[in-house]
Amino acid sequence: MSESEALLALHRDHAGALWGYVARLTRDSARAEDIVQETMLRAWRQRISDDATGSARAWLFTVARNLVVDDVRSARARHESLYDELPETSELDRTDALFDQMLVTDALLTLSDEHRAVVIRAYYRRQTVAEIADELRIPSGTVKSRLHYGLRALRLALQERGVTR
Amino acid sequence: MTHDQFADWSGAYVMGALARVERQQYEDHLACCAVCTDAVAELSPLPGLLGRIPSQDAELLLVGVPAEMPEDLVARTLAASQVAQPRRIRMPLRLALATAAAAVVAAAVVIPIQLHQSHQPDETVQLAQVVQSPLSATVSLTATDWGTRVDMDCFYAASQYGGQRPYELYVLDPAGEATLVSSWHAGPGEEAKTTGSTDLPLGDVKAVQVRAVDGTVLLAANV
Repeated sequence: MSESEALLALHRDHAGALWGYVARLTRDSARAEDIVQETMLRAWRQRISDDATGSARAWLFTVARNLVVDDVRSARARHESLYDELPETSELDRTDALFDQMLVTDALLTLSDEHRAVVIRAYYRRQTVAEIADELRIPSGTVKSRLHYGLRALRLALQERGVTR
Repeated sequence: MTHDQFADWSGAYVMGALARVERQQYEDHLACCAVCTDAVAELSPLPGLLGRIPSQDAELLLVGVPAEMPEDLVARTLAASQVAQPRRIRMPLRLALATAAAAVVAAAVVIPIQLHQSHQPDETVQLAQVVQSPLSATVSLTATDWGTRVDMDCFYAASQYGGQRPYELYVLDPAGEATLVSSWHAGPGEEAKTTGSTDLPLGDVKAVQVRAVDGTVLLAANV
């Protein structure tokens, strides 16, 4: 396989999933483009590919997530140095809030679609178990069970990101 | 009622998603079940953490990807991989034009020699778009005694807009150093054929690039 074929194969097999993840994490398509491109190039330079040791996808997602984190951190650092002399706490708070928001979004994205669907409906739409069951056409016992396991998975993902103990 | 019946209610409870009657039943059960009490305690920080995302943003996580991946991302990634080093050489315009003029002179000198060398090119590459532009090009490389001959065939897509603009063809050596080999003007619907040269041996030409005079790489290919 030539070098550019390796890059094309990585793109063909993973760019769509990686884009879905990064675009939702950043909510900014220009930044998502930069991050997906940089992640693909790093994988290609380090000769990461799907092989006997497994899929390249986990590697790609990890590298992309770290790039997003770096991006948000450096935005925060810029604000900190910018306001050294004249602290503008509202601006600092805003970048901190963005950082937290990114981590919680990332944790939500690790949930299965089924788990995420019930968690978001229950929390952000304030829907009851019965309403969610109705909307998704599943038994209410299934909604309860998905909330139970979905929130447990979310707690683990947040712990891994250092957001909660 | 047994614990089994309530075993997976903790999530719905901390989300406040249980109906009033069920919530009452669950709270009665909590009063006498350490397992469920622990389960609720474990999940209790989550509503506060979820609250850090504005609900309109969280909604986006339900509907899917906020924007489509650009179709040309693969081409741009590929082109970026072909530039040996990420830095871009930006020359002041005056210097670029002077270099371009020198290259045209060099090409003019070289052409008569080439007329006697009619053999097939050693390598022909199709250039990929790095940024969107109306240009497409193929470049043929031929090894010579003095270096490498660089023949380019560049098409400018037909369009009713735009006049003639200057373009430049560069070759990159293994260190990523770019050398200008030809320059030309082209406008909509035109085809430009140029012949240029470099003293790099064929094996040391690692990439070719078509650039705008401001240094922007428009087309690129690995060799």
